[in-house]
Formats: sequence, C-alpha cells, structure tokens
Amino acid sequence: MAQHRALTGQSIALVAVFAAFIAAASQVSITIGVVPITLQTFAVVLAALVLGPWRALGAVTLYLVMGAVGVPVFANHVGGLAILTGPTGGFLVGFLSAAVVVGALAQLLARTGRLARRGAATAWLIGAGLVSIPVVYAIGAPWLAVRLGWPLLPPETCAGLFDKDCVSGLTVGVVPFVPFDIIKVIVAGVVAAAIHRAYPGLLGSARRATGASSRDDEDEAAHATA
Amino acid sequence: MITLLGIYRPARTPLHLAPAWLKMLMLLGISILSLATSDPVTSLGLLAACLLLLASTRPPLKATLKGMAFIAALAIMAAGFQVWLGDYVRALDLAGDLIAISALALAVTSSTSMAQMMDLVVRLAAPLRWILPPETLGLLVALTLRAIPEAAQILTEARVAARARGLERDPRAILIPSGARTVGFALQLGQALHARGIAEHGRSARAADREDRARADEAHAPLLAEPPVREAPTGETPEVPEPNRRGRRERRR
Repeated sequence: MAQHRALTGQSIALVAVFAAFIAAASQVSITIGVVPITLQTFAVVLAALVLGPWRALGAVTLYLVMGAVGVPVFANHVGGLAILTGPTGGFLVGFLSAAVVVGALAQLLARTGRLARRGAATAWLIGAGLVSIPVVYAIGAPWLAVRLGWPLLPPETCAGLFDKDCVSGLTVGVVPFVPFDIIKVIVAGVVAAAIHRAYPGLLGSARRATGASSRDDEDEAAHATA
Repeated sequence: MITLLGIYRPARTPLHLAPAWLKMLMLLGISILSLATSDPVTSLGLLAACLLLLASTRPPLKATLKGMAFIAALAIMAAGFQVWLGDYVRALDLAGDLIAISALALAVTSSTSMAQMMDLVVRLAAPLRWILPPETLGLLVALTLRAIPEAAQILTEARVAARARGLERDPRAILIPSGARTVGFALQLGQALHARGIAEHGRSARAADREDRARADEAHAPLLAEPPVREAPTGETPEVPEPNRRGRRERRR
C-alpha cells in the first residue's frame, strides 16, 4: 500500500527517467585514466543512492523489462532475451537486489540526517554504494560459473595465475572487475552527493531537515524542485 | 549512437505468427532442458534446432552476428577451458547449451514485436495491479522510451562540455552535470505529469473524501490533456472538458 500511495507523477517520472539513464549509460563508455569502462554499474548504483529502495527497484526492473522486450538497451547494443538468458545475465539480476539494498541504506542515511553535512555525505554514500558489489556478485558469479562450467571457488591446489586449477568463477569472473567497480561506486557516491545537494528532499530528507510538518507528497515535490 | 531499433523485423515466418507466450514458454522449456541434460548428442541436436529456428526468422544479419559474437566468444572460452582439462564431451555440451539458448532467445526477440512483448508483460503483471495499475505500467514504458534519447543527449552534452574545458579525463566533470540534469529533467517531467493529472491513481485510492474534493476541483479546471484515468470503480468516464471549455469560451465572448 505504501508503494501504491507513492505512485505520484514525480515518482513515476523519476523511475522512468532513471531507467532511461541506465539504458543510455550502458551504451556509453568514458575513459578513466586509460581504461574505457561502461557506466552501467555506475548508473544502477546512482539510481539506488538517489531514488531509495522502491523507486530504484522500479527503475532497474523497468530497464530489464525494456531489454527483455527487445529495446537494445544492454551493453553492446544488443537487446532482447539473449543477454538475460546468457551467462552474464546473473549480473543484471543482481542489480535488482543491489538496488534495493543500496537504496534502503541511502534512505536510512537520509532519514538519520547524515546527508545534511557536505563532506560526510559523500563518504556515507560511497560506503552505502560499496555494499552493491558483494550483492551483485553473489548472484552473478555463481550464475556465470554454472553456465561456463567453472568451479565457483578456486581449489586449494591453486598455485599461480596460469595454473589451470585456478580458473574459477571467483578468479576470472569477479576479481578482475572489482577494481573498476570500486571506481564506479566511488564516482557514483560523489555524483549522488552532488545531486542530493542540488535537490535536497529526493529521499524525504528535506522534510526532516526543515522540520516541515506537512506529510504530503506534493510538498516533497516542491522541496525537491525548490 | 543510440538506436531504439532492436533486431525485430516484421515478416510472416512461422515464428512471427506464433503467439508471444508460446515462444516464451518454448524458450523457458528448452533452456531448462538443455541445462539439465549433459548429453552432447542432445545438446548438439538442440543447438542445430535453435540455429535453424533463428535462421527461419530471417533476422537482420549484422545485428544478429554482433549479438552472437559475444556469446560465441564466451562459449569458446568455456569450451577451451574444458578441452584444456581434457573433457571434450563436457566442452561440447557447455558450448552447445550456451549458443543454443542465446540463438533461441535471439530468434524470439527477432520474431516478436515490442508491442506483442509489452502485451505479454502487462498480462504477466496483472496480479500486481494493486501495486502497479496497468495504465501506470504503460505510462512508465512510454516515458522510458521517450527519455532514453534525452538521457543520451544529456550525457553527450556533458561530455562535449567537459572536453571543451579540457576535462574529458575527469569523470566528475562529465557525470555530475549529467546526473544533476537527469534528475532535473525527471522532476520537471513529474511536475508536467502532475499538472495534467496523469498518474494520480495513488492519490485517488488514498481517501474517499479527498477524492470527492479532487473531483470538485476538476470540474472547475479546463483539462488540457487527457482526462485522468482513474481506477473508476463505477466505470464512469469523466466527460468534463467539452461542455466546460465551450462554456468558458462563451463566457469570454
């Protein structure tokens, strides 16, 4: 019921635009240092940090539905079910749970007033965003390992980088990507802090900060656009 | 550049004529079957069948090859690892499964229009109508489709602006403006929706007395856009705008 009441024009617009933002970001890569990386993870974490759990879940779900329906919104300009059913589909499904977990943490931060202070807000948001990494890989890595026929964990006998015992979901599917994910999450935290500074009240924090007694969604919208 | 054109092309092949739910069921069934069996002969049979089905839908060649290249690379990786371990049977099975499922998924995508797929999604989402009314789902999808080029343009403009300042290596210079502008765009869109009374289902369900008051308000305001689609337990359609607008025009004269 709480969710139904939250289906205002503002929430609907935020969910739809962030689904579109994730779609656009999945196809754009920017260069950090020398390595080009796509912005998909960044956009998902940003949506969670900006929108809170339910709207972020809506945005990510909508993004996946658009992809499943056939709009080419996944990385590589390939749309459709092939990506979702493929071995890397687990990472996309993992985004769903990550959106809820990170969004809930961000909302908690907003409710407890931790987003009000400028320097601390960035650190808190980055911290919340970092939680997304284990959540995404908890679903994505086993899925990848099963589909590619790798063991999930490297066995005890694993000795060196080119030892064939060492090929596993963890060493090939997770470890090489984690540094980039950490960079993306840090950037997402910085951007989310800037967005919360520019539009306070997206997570309902302005209501608390200003002590306004109104409980209406329109007022929240007014704060957000003020 | 971002295109909204998937690999669907209208045609009249058998798969194009099959209903969407049947194709999805087939995809689900064959995926489970091919993952459950570890027999290389079955695997290769399914692979051949799926590739034939994909070819039968006559998909656009370039996009299909691009889509298959990614999965083929992964399949070669997986099979190569198994061959390295000396397990040729498993290699055939795994690679066959991977390519078969993605070929079938591409066949479904290339033979089912977005509208058909959306119909299926709406039908599947029907049990959720208390949380998400079907009209809202349609609105969300339509808004997302419209917002994808907008979001892409915002990202591109932020990049161009960052390059103009010589900051194209600084992610903050690109992403903070694009993130903030995206949120700003969404909030303006939300206000536009609110102003037109679109997507106000939540409020109508909230309290009956408020609904009455809202209806009274509506009677005064000339509606510029579609009248708000309510859940309408009585089934009445608000026919406010026509007489109202005429009345106002006459008053002006």
